Amino acid sequence: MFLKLFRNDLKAIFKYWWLGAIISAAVSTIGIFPLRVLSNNNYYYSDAVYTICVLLLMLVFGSIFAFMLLTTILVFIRYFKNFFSDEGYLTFTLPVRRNQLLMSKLLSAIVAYAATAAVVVAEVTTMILAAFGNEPDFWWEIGDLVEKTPDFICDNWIYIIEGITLALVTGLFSILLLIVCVTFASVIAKKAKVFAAIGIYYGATTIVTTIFQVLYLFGGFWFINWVVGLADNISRNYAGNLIALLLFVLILFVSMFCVILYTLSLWMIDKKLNLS
Amino acid sequence: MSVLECKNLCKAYKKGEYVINNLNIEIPKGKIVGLLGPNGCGKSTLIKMIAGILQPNSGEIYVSGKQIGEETRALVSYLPERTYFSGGMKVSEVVKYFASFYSDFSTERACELLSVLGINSDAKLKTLSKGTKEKVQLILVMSRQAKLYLLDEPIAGVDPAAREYILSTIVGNYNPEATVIITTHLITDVEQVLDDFYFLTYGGNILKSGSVEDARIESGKSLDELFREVFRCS
Repeated sequence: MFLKLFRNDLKAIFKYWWLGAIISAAVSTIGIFPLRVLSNNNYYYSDAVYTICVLLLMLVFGSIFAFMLLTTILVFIRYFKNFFSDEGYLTFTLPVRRNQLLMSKLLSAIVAYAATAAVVVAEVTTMILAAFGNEPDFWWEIGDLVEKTPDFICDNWIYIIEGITLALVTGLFSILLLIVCVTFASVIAKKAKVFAAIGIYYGATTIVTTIFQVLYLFGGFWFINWVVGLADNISRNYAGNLIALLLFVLILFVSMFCVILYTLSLWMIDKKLNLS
Repeated sequence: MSVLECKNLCKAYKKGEYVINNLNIEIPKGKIVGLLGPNGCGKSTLIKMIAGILQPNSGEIYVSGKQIGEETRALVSYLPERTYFSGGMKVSEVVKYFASFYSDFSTERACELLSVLGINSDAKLKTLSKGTKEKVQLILVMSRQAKLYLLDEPIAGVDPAAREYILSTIVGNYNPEATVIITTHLITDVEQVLDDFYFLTYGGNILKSGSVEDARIESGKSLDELFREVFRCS
């Protein structure tokens, strides 16, 4: 049953997602031209050419942003429509557990965001390689960047695993925040549930973003300096373990919030469902 | 064993304002039951709780002896008072959807009923009229071999000719081992198919209930006339 739900959710989201991916990929190929022009110091171009290049780059990054926004909109629509519009009368009378319904929505959203991230990374990488790949300086800069990274980070694979895990749980947190906001809005609002859901999601993301910005502003720079200084002050091995532990605590902290948001959504769907 | 049992059922949308207050009902199998009452008396709320869409504030509901949950949703075939399909789907896709989720769904039966009504399986639901969508929904619901059918206002939005067809579909397609619960205001139309009735009043209280045939003989009136009399007095 779960696989049937999951397949239906994926089908609904990816029905229009492909169109966005193709348009975004097509537009991103345009970005190669302005990148080459703007990075070329051997020729002099007129202001008009520079202006066109900047506008083209804005178009490219605009299309990438629009594609990411499209994914969020598709996930939102699927979740809201299937659960809280008239379709909910069918969804919630299917012979499946509420947990399966929610898990299917969550996994399909994760797949959609992962596919979007893969497409965006591929677009940007292709753009950069096509624009700068032939220049020897480009590969030298990349090598230099790797060399400047403290040894204790490069030598320790745990950072890569922790980094990927942290990115995954942070992405999961963002999706669950969307789910919990839409659920909360649909439970409390009697009319205009869509606007209530958008409003609450916007408010919640603003609060979360502000908290992270404040934390970064006051603690971020200090933390980076502390990490760089660690290698000079204490043994490299000890410093490496300490940072790995800190990252692990951060992953646990975000994961704990994910569990809370998921449980809260499930509870609201199970106990407070309010289909008009 | 009864198909449906409600014990001390209470539901309030606002604190202290009960739509259903301490309702007790036991409905045996093999009956077509009318849940009748004025607007806002809690008929749809009760149906939604039995279907598992709403949670009661207190009390218990049992379908074939099982508490409301995943298992009972497989036993209940629910027709809400609104159309719940995504407009972009074709009729044939909706049939497949039902077949994939409900093991008791008969695709042959659904296709047969669709062809009798002249509904094109390749048509998208958004191109169909409201009445035709309701017919498609009813066909899907009645093509299951469920233990309990919950039909919330099944004939409210259709013309009198279609009402007759819908009622004959309900009678002709339900499993004699199952029970059908119908809520409606159009008592004259459904009276002919009902075995039992419940008159619900505000707060979900039962004013009168019993066999339709017995009520007719005792009162010398049709169920519709009896309904008017009961609710005029209350």
